[in-house]
Amino acid sequence: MRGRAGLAFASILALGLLVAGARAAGGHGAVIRLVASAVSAGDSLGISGEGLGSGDSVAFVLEGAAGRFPLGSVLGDERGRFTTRVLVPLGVPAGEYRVVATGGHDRAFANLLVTADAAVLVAAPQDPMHARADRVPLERRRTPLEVGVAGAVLVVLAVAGALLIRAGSGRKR
Amino acid sequence: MSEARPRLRDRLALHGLDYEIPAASLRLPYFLGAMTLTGILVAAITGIYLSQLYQPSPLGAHGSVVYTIEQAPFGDLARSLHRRAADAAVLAVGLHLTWVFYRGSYRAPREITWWAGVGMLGCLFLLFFTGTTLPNDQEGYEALAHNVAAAERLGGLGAFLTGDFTPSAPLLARLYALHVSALPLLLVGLLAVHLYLIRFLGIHVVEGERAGGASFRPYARRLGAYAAWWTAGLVALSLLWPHGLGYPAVAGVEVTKPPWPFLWIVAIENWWGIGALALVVPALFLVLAAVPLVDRRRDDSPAGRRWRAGLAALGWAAFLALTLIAALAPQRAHMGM
Repeated sequence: MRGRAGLAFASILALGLLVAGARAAGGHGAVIRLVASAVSAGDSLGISGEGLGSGDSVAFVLEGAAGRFPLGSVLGDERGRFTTRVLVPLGVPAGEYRVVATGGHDRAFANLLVTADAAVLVAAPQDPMHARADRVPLERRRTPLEVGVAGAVLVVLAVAGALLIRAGSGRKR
Repeated sequence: MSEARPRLRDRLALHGLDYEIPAASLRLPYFLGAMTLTGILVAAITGIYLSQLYQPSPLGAHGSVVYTIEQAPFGDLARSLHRRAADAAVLAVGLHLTWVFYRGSYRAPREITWWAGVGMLGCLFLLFFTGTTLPNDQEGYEALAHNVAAAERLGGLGAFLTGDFTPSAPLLARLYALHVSALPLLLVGLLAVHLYLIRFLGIHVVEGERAGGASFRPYARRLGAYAAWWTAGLVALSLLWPHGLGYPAVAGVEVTKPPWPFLWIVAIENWWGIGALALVVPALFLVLAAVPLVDRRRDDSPAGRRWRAGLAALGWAAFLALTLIAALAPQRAHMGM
């Protein structure tokens, strides 16, 4: 019993050391923080961080199943610290992504959810030159049956109204 | 047959309709509220069918509206009738409000009736607005962008109407949910209060008019006739003037103007920017709500009615002038897109 407990303790300790070691080796304290955990495409996103190089340019990329989308870059100070805002491009499909920041030899990332919003309209090319204020020419479905039914409803309503008025004036007499 | 009618009358408690109302209320302006209700009912019935065809997602909305117009049986007619009914309801409620204001019918003890009416006007305004966004065409997208811009200016109060409220559902889907659930429920609740108070406080009469002299039954009959004609007119309009659909939206630009009930706001936005939207619309409803608190006099003198007629005419003139200015003005961007 004591042997099992010792083994479990040793396993947990080893696991803890492994995780701590991996974290320390992974980014030399490189970390980024996002102002929001979810944004819509077209929105701006605040990012701050530290430990990404030393006076290097820090580049940001949005990575997800839908692809990689460059977000721009910023110049960090001698400790690799920075605060900036980037624009999540229009046309980025909704889904789970991670923002990857690279500065010098250091990398850090944070998860980001890009939400489907009306700002994300991939149905049309996202080019202002394609924006149109007029109406789509549509082949309206107006079968003879539909127009006939609508016409019949119209006539029935008109006659019903007249009958109601007549019934009212008849009662007066 | 002769026995069936009294039996049916008993079972439907139609004798409840034989209460006395002022003889003056058989005139046309007293039916404007009922015409508003008719428009709402037509929009509700057609809306139930349209909801079966519509996909409330930013990517699927436009396509589902195209399908409704081009392929769904009665889809184009139902959609056109839905929109014309909404137009008619807004027009009728504007005229109803003017008539009630002119008559001074908002004064004690009818303040709550008035406030319920102002609440319904707000509901109709929001129903029209949310409906505009649903096709997700250029006009709908720009309406949505204005909604977000105005909501952001309201700070915490407007958070619910922005995409930041939750990442789990698109704003378009949430506005659709409001359009088909919360707003109609609120409207029905306010309508119930409004009608209950009209029934038990009675129809307002002014000096020189009789409090009674007619039964509600002929009013109801005439109401049915006008509602039937009103609906027939809407069906005819839907056949002759079908409702259009814009192109799929392109984000980041402003190239359209809103439907006619909102055009007057565009004129103000052209002068004072998008911030005016968040100020002017709430201010208008606050002014309307304050009417019974400001005018607390009891007299129904013709002089008072002339004053109110002047104010109402001024209000309509401002609405029409601003609408015309906005319609004729070149398209301008308000959101710094």
